[in-house]
Amino acid sequence: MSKILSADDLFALHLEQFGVEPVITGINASISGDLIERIIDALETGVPYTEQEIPEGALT
Amino acid sequence: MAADSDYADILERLADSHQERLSGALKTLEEDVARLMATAPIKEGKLFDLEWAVAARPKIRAALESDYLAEVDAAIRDYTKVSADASKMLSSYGDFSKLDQTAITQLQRLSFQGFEGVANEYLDVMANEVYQSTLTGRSFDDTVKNLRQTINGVYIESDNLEANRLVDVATNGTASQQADAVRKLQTIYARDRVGNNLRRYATQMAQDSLMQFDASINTAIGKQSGASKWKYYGSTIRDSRPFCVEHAGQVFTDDEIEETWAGSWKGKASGDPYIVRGGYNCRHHWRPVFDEEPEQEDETTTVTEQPTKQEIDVVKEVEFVSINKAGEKEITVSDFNTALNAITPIQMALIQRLPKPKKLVGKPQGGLYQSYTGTLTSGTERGGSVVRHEYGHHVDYMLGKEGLGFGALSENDFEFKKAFKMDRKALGLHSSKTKQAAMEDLLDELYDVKVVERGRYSVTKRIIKADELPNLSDIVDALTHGQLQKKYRVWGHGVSYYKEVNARYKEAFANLFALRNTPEWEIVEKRFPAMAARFDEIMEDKI
Repeated sequence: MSKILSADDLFALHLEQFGVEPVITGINASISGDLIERIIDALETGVPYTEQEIPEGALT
Repeated sequence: MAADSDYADILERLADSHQERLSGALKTLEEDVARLMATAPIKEGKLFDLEWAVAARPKIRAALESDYLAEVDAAIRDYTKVSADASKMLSSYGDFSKLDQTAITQLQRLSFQGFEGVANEYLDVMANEVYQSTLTGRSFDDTVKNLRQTINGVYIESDNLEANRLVDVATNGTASQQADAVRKLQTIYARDRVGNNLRRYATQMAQDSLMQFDASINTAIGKQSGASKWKYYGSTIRDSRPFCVEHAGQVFTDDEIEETWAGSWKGKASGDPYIVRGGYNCRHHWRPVFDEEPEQEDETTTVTEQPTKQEIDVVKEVEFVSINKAGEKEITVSDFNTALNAITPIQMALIQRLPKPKKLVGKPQGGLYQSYTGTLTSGTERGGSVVRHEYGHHVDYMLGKEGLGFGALSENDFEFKKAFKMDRKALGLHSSKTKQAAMEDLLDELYDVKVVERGRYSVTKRIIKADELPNLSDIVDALTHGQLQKKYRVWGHGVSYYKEVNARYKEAFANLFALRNTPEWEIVEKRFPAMAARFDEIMEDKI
């Protein structure tokens, strides 16, 4: 059975694999409860997790 | 069969034939535009000649006129027969006056203008696609594919036999065969459904335009003849709206129609209930009824029940756009209404008094409010909580505009900002010595900790205890300037977002707005008593 990781472990793996931490702008705040799943997807697909910039003057 | 049922059948067959004819016309248009593109000068597979791109616009317009609008014109000429059939049908129920031919012609003209407006919109889309692709040196093949998809979505023609077979199935198969074919076209052949293709609008308009023409004719004849009762009739099919299923076959007075149609239901279209009836793609009709009418149909009944509790149509008349990929649930204005009806009566009174957003955009998930354009984008996840949150931003801005002429109320209301700081301090979130313990105490109330499995990973994760609690978690995130989200990877906007000081007040306000009528408000009052009290004062002051 695989070792149980913490959310911080996942962020460290992201940094190790991509050289950057996941970029969180807040645009996905309404689905931010699924952040861990999306970081795992990033690790598995090889595409770093980077949220879009928030349009000027917009709120989420 | 009753005369009105016969007439409804004629209309349905005519609508089907119009949809088929317009689909054919759009296939021709797609080929003509592709042929035009084949004459474009290309260098290394890319468009480059801007002069050619500018000259393409009138040629696309000509193709739209000869292929598409000519077919629309022919279809609308059929409406003359519809008006004759309507008069014939009504004559079997009593003596009705005839409708003036000028009015009929004018209705036909208006119908044509509706199609023409959409054609002009798509002329712009296609001409811009050609010009921008030329300007940026985009691949010729990609540009042609985009143009084809702008016209026909997944139903574009190609050299691939299997893709063409799937297009046939997507056009003519059963509902499940169509869905399967569309999915394959998207996944295997990279066809983009492009929710806004001309085919989608044209086929829906072919149906709605005919049915609305018929509705106008029947309503005008009925009103001219002094009718004050109307029968709502038409067949109910598998995907008929529950609203139509409930009301089909019933007779209503003018007042009852006004009352019943004031409610909200999925797929409702804004406008005169005699014209829009059950909403988009509705195949039900009105016909005038007189008391002395001979009983022809057993199913005719008079409505005697009290109307059921109806939702308030909060965002009536607001432009609504839905963005969804194939296979995703389409969000409708009715979904927004349902979400907004779950607020307190005071909140409801306030949003009914304030100006509405200029545009609503429904998408499967996510939320964004752009105050400068008045655009509110939201999914309906978590029981509509996101819609209420984004609408909270809108209310905040409308109150700010009303009071000061600019900005949001929450960023300018001294008492609200003071309450925010008081709660922050009382919770111990203001001091580095007490912050961590305070955050963990709040997390315990909001989250359970579980191990989640995904792919080859097993991760401990905080799972929110209820659908509305993400709003509460985000208030804590605002109070900690994004530290809660950063440190514990939980619901919130995060530090980058909350660097902007006023965003903290605005998000707190929007979260309170979403939470106000939920059972979780008790936690709000317990944890953020100053903000809860000030929020209620604002609501009561401003209605």
